[in-house]
This record gives sequence, structure tokens and C-alpha cells, in this order.
Amino acid sequence: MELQKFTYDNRMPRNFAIATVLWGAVGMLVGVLAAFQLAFPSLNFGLSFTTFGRIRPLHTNAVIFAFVGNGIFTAVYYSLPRLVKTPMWSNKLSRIHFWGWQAIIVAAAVTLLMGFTSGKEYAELEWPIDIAITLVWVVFGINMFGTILTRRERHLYVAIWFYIASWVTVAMLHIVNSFELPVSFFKSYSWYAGVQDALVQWWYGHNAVAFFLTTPYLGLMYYFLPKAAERPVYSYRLSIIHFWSLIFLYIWAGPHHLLYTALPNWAQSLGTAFSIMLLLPSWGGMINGLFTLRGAWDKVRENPVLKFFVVAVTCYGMATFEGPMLSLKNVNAISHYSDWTIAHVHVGALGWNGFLTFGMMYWLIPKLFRTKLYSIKLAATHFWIGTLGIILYAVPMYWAAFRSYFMMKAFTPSGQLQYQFIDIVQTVVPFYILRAIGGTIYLLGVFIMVYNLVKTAKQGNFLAFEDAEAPALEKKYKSPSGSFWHSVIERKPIMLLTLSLVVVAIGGMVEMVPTFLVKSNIPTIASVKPYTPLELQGRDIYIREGCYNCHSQMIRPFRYEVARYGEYSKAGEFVYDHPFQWGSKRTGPDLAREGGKYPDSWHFNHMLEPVSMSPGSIMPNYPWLYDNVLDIGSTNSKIHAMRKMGVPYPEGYESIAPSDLKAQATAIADGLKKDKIEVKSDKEIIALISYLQRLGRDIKTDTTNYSNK
Amino acid sequence: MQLIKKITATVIFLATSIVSMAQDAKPVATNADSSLDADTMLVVCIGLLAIVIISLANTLLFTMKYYKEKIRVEKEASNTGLKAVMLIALSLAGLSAMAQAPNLVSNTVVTEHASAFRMILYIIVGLEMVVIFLFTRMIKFFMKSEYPGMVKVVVKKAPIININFKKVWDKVNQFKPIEEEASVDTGHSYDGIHELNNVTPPWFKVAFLLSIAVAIGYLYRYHVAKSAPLPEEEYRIEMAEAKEQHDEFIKSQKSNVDENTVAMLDADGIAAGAALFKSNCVACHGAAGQGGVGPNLTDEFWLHNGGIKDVFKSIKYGWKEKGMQAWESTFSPVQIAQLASYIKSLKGTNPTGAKAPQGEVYNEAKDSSATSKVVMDSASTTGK
Repeated sequence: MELQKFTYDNRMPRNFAIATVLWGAVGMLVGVLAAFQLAFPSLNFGLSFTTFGRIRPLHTNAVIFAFVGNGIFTAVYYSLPRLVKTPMWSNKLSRIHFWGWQAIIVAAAVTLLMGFTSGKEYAELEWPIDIAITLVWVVFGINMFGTILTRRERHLYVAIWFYIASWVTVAMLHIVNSFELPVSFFKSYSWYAGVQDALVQWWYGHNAVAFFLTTPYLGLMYYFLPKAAERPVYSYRLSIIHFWSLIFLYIWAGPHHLLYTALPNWAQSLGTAFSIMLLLPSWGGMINGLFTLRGAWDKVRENPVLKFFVVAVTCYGMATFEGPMLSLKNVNAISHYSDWTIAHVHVGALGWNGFLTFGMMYWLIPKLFRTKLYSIKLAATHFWIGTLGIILYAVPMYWAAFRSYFMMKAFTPSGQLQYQFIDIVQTVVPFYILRAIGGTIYLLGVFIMVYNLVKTAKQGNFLAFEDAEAPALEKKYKSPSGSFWHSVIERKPIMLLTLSLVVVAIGGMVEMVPTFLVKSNIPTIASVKPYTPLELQGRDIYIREGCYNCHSQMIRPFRYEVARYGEYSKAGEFVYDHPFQWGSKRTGPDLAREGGKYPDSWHFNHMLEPVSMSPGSIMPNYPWLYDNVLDIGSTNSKIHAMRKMGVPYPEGYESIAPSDLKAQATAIADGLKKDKIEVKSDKEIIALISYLQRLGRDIKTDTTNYSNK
Repeated sequence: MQLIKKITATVIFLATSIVSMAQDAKPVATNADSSLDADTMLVVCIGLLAIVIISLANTLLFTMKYYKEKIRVEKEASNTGLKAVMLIALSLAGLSAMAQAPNLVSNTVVTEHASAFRMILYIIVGLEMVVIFLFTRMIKFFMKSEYPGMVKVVVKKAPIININFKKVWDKVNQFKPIEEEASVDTGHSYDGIHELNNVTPPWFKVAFLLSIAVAIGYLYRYHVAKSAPLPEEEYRIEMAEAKEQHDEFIKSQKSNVDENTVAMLDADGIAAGAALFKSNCVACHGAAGQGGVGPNLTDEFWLHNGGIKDVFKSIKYGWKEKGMQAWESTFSPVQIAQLASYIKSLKGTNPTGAKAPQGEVYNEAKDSSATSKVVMDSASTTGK
């Protein structure tokens, strides 16, 4: 058979690698800032774009989509051509992909800091960027499939299965979750409302972890780990079992983020049940990774690449063990809204994604630059510093979570809550400091790596085009008798793609379709009315400032939550919430029934300087809300958009809305005047106060509890 | 032999120190003061790091012995002897500092200088880390000193304990000996990566099936058999239990106050009320009750009447539409009585910056239900 000559283009993996390291450092730096802000609120600097509510989404988006995203592309653009023995299909598409993705990252950073956000976690980017992401993702897919279809290797290696499944699932998740109705160029409303929005969001959120942070990185592991260890992959059949079971089961687990919420119980239970089943498929990847190192453990002692891989895979095992545990109801009651979740994701993010990326870099950069790693010693230092950073990050968070849980649910013998929320906040602040130090140490390690990699690149010389040769595939293929049935799928990429899509689509459909169509899942409450125009505008300010990053709006049916926040939340209360704002973390108290708890003047003073009303608070100041004039011009289109999505504003209400808005604003400003507060009624703060005062007031509940009867 | 002795000695020392530390830490953990909790954790951190330091110190001494022997052969013992003494002194100092740490905690926690104390703890953690770093460097230094065999000495002794474990491990995973790997090779080669076709570990298969069974059982239990409570039901059970506890508590109380029985408390009660006011009410009502967001509490004008019973009621149930929150889930009835008494005691204090009058003049004499003249004994109401 004739050998065909071709070349691998190493510029793409190099560019993606540079972007990975660069965005990684930036994203983690932002994370460190966010961590310190929680301990020292003055670090919010009193500026809108440096306030925690905007910094935190920037951090999560940067480390997930910029750092890990570019990490995925580095791995794919290096490993895929070599695994199928052909260069990437199109240089042009590769370049569009690279620059498109980087442009999206820059646009994301700018818009998030400016407060353009859809208010849905890990999917905060507004609709023009969502569309751009879709386009670039399709470009990536075409390029990937072009490469696969022109391959010179008959069967697809397990790493590629993971790449394909990740690609198609992320596409599905992104498109379904980003259904939104634009009201202006940088403002849109989620198509779904309340409970349904929550279900879709956490179906997306959970599986962004699954199919962006996990499965592509399993593909990465399956290529780079055996390469670095120079050992064969442990078990082909284990690969098959854990690949299919993992992608099938993962997609169902989303509702475990919504246990004890207003989500229908059957959906909650499905989330838990599938999370339990998810443990072993996840561990399949860990087992295959660690057992691949059998007979190479002596190398692990000396080779920093393998050290990183071992800890990464171990962290993966720990996080995927913890995950199913966290989805058990009684454990979730403790962990949900607490710092436990933060610790959990960071074991995964810092350990699994971070260390796997670092290992890959230490292996790849010397290869690309045809040299040895500049300093193995520095890499080892990085390894130890990084490990220490992870421990110092995670341990205080676990401790804080348990501590605050026991304080939250403490009652005095006479039946009163023992602690105010602020007491609990002050208890955890020292842990926030330790956590921030842990994060800083980890980041220090990254800087050491950057230095090491730059030095490595400088001492070597870059091999842009790598020559290779392989015979072309014969048109006809007859599989050897007795070959395993799965090999058929491995040589039919389109079939693999379709099967993956079918397998991942099932879970989401079973959970979402009934929640959308069966009315009894979200019993309507007649007294729940749409927001007034001013409240709607206030809600958009609430979303813009990222209040949901620290405040939940979902009271769970626990005695201590009802005593602290009021009657537990009902599904029917959220039917007009586009998007839902249940939140996932309570750094501050729940706000689901904030309305009427304090006077307007309290909110006025509190938003200006929280410590003046609540001494010891770590909430940032929001001085710009007192200068900014509310954009009343947008009211029209907002009311219109809401009606389009089924919110029952009367026909033609758009024309009345602005005057309604002004009347309500004037009433609030007049009320404040009685409390000696002079403020013009057209300021943003007025709208925000109106929204906060509306929260949770629609249902009249018997808020008196047993203690006064 | 000596190594084993040393290890046992260390283990004993560690065990005792951990026990003593746990005993010291206990009262700290149960203390209601929330700010102490971080200190507890720091102390534990210090303890754990100290353990690391001790084991490192042992290894260090061990490596030094070999080093010294080697030097003696070269007849240059004098210099390192000094070094060794210094090192021992250093580690001893670390140990004694650690031993003192728990004592420090129990003494200082009561004081208000918790933040300064915490700084000290942070510094100790930092110092410990420096010591660990130095120790590891030194161990490395001594290990490197042309005694490559030494590392192996340690390793060789270990397998005595490991052999059984390894056998079990191999069996549990059904490992094929690496030499026989070729028999399970699939023959695949992707960019040089080969794939074996080892059996899936049997425990994996069993555990996977088990987890599926558990998941099905979970769904069955909650949604078919309905033998376990769903969230709303759980809540009902929890509240019923709380009510039971509460009823029992009420029964056990000799005297209990509510808005019908409350009366003005004595000076102790007012002082207790003042403390509660300071930490909970000043944000809205001002430090001297002069008003701010909330109304002035020192004049004779009241929005909802100014009798002790009325004030008690206002605090207990709040006036939600006016922004006064209900405090009954925060304060006990006695505490509310203390607060009400304190507020009543403010009348006529004329603080600076007093807010303009709101509401109507409240006339105590006219209000027949007012019984503020009766002074209750605060000790009897607190039930102490």
C-alpha cells in the first residue's frame, strides 16, 4: 500500500496552549480577587464593574470557557490529527475557530463587567454572544468532522468518542438553555420562567460540568496520559462501558441542584437516583487512568507530568464520589447554598481540570518546541504548591459549610433562632481569608509554570509543520471475523455522533417535557400577579448587579428556613420570573420574602452602605444606583416582550406603563422624604427598592408560627 | 531496629498530643461564641502541621545519622555535630511551641482580643510551614550526600507489611501480571497508544449493579411505596416535633410572658434590654432611640400606642407594612419584655438629633390596660 505524506500543523495547538495558559492566569487572578472581596468588602472599590456580583460571573466564565475551553481545543487540535493520521481538515476554519473563540472571551469579559447578563449561572452571556458561540462551535464541529471523515485510521480511539459526544451535547445544552427573547441589543429575557427555567438552567449547568469540564478532559486524559506514561490503556472494554453509561446517566442528574426547591418531587427524585448510578461510570475513567499507570509508578516519582496526571485523576475520583453523596437529600440539605458546593467544584476544577491541563502543558510545550522542559525542579515545585493550594482552598470551605449549617439551624429552647444571619457571616469570614490564601498559592504555581514554559519555548525551536506518513484507507473494509460488535460504531463517526445525541437527549426530554406540559407540576396561584413596570425595571437592575450570586430566592421547607425567611416557596410563585433567580449560594440571606421586611428607607441606606444598617455585613456598596437615572425608554419593549412570553399584561399596556412606573416611583420617593431622605424619583435605586419590596408578597400566608399560639 | 523504635516513640508522642489537644479544643468548639470557631480550626491546622514536622524531624535525624557516619569516615565530624545539635534544638523548640498552643487557646478565647490572637495563630501556621520547608530541604541535602543506597534501605523494609495488601489488591482487580500483558493486547495502535483489553474489575461491576439497584429502590420507596417522606411531609413532621418540644418548654417554664401579662421590668431587665437594643435595633431607631429609619422612641408620641403591652406587641409581631419586622422568631418573650422595658425607660431622655414626632400622644393614665407601674422581678421571669 502506498504511503501518503502529509504534515500536522502545530501552530494551532501552540496558539490554543498559549491562550489556555494566559486566560487561565487571568481567570484565576479574578477568582482570587473575588475570594478576597468576600473577606474584605472594601476590595469592591465602590465601582460597578469591580463589584463581586460582576466579578464572580467573570471568574466562572473565564476559567470554564476560556481556560478549560482553550485547554480542550489544545488537546483536540494536537491529538485528533495524530489519532486519525490526517491534518486538521481546514486551516481557515481552524483560524476562525481560534480567533472567534478568543474574541468571544474578550467580548464576554467586557460585557459581563458592564453588567450585560442574562442572569443565568454559567450562561450569563447575552444573546449576540450566545449566537457567536453557536457559530464558532459549529465551525469547530465542521472542522472536527471534516478531519474525522478524511481520516487514514479506520477506527476511532476512545478519546475521539469523548470529543464527539462532548461536542454534540454542548451544542444541544447551549442552544436549549439560551432560548431567550431579545428586548435590545444587550438585553434579553429567558424564554422559560420560574420552575421550568430552573430545570432547564440546571440541566444545562450540571451538564456544562459534565460535557465541558469532564468528558472532553477524559478524552484529553485518554491521549496524554498513556503518551506520557508510555503505557497501553488498561481496558478497552471498560472504556466502552464507562463512555456510554457516563454520557447516558450524566444528563439526568441536573435536578439534584434543586432538591427541596419548588421543582416537582418526581423530578428531584430522578435527579438523585441518576446521580447515585453515576458514581461508577465516573470512576470508570479514574480506574482506566490510574491502572494505565500500572508498571509505570516508578516514572511517576520523577516525571512531573505524570505527577500532575495522578493527582488530577485522583481529584476526579474524589469529586465524582462526592457528587453522588451531595445529591442525597439529607446531605444536600446541608450542602446546598453553602460553601460546601464551592469546595466541591474547586476540587474538581483546580484538581482535575487544572492539574490535567498543567500536565498536558509540561508534556506538550517541550514536544512542540523540540526541547526538554526548562526546569523539572520548578515543575515539581509547581506540583507541590498547587496541591497545597487545593488543600488550603478546600478544607476551610468544608469547615465553614458545616459551621454555618449548625448555626443556621440552631434554635434556643424557647423556639427562637439562636443566630442572626449576620452572626453566621462573621463566623465564616476567617475561612474566606484562608480560602483566598489557598487560591493565591495555587495561582502562584501557575505563574511558576508560565515562567517555566516560556523559558522552555525560548530554549527550543518551534516545529510548525510536522511531517508524517500513512497509507490511505481502502474503500472496502471487511472486519475480521470475531471482532467486537462495538468496533462497528468506532468506524462510523456519524453513527457515533447520532447515537451520542440520542443517548444524551433522552434524560433531558423525560424531565423537561412533563414539567412544561403537565399543568399539575406547577399549580397556579391566583394571587400571583405580574410585576409592575417599575418592579420589572428593578428586577433587571437586580439581575444586572448579579445579586443572585450571593442571594437565593428559594425558601426550602425546613423549620429553620421558614423561621428565618418566612413561608417556604411554592412553584406557582415564580410563573412570571423570566429568568428565575433562585440562586445557588447564600453568602447573604434569602430574599424570596424580602418584601415588606424593612422600610424603604432601610433599603435606601442599606444599598448605599450595607454596614450602616447591618453592622458586620460583607455586602458591597452600590453608590452608582443613586446617580444612575433609570432607563424608562426600555419599559415599552420589556412589557411587550414579557407579554409575548405569556405574562398577562393587558393588550396596549405598553402605552400606560411609563406613567404607572413614574407614579409608583414618585410614591416611593415621597415616602422616603418623610424619613428625611431626599432622592429624585427617577434614580435606579427607586426601581430596585420597589422590586425588593415586592418579593414574596403575592401569596398571603399565615406567617405566624406555632410559638405565639 | 532503631528506626522502628523511633517510629513507635513518635506515634506514642503524637497520640498523646492529639488526645490532649482534642481535650483542649472541646470546650472551644462547644462555646457559643461564633468567632472562636476559626481559631479551633487554626489550632487543628497547627496540630496537623506539627505532626508533619515531627515525622519530618524524625526522618531528618535518621538521615543525619547516616550523613554523620559518612563524615566520620572522612574525619570531619566536628562541624556537622554542631549542625545536628542546632537542628535538634530547632525541632524541640517547635514541639514545645506546639504543646503550648492549646493552652494559649483556652486562656485567650475569653478575652476580646480574638483577632490579635488569631493573628498569632496565623503566624504560627506560617512558621510551621517555613519549618516544614526547611526540614524537607535539609532532608534532601542529607539524602543527596552520596548515600544513594540509603533511600533503598527505607524502601526495602516496607514490603514486609505490603505483601498481603498487594495480593489482595491484585485479586480484587483481577490484575494480569504485567509480563502477560501481551495476551490481552487488542492490537490497536492509535498514534502509538496501545489498548489492552483487561477485564473490568469485578468489584466495579458489582458496585455498578448495586448502585442501579439502590437508585431503583430510592424511586420505589419515595414514589411507589411512599414509605419515605417527601419534602413537604418532612416539613410537617419537623414542625410537629418542634411544636411538641415547644409545648413542653412552655410547661416547664415557671412564668412566661406574652402581650397580655407583660409588665415593666426592674433595672436588671432594662439593662438586658439595653444590650439587646444596641445589637439589634440601633440601625433603624438610632443609638439612643432618637429614631432614623424607624420612629423616635423617646418622645410621648406613638404610632401604635405606647403602653408596655403595646410596645411588647409591636416588637413581637412587627408592623410589616411600615417596615417594622416581627421579632418573635428572634427573641424570646422575656427578651422582648426586656426590650420593651428598656424602650419605655427612654421616655423623656431627649437625645440629640431626635426625629420629629410621629403618631399620637400616648397617655398612660387614660389607658386602663396599661400596667407599667407594676415592676416585675426580672429574675423570676428569666427563669434562671
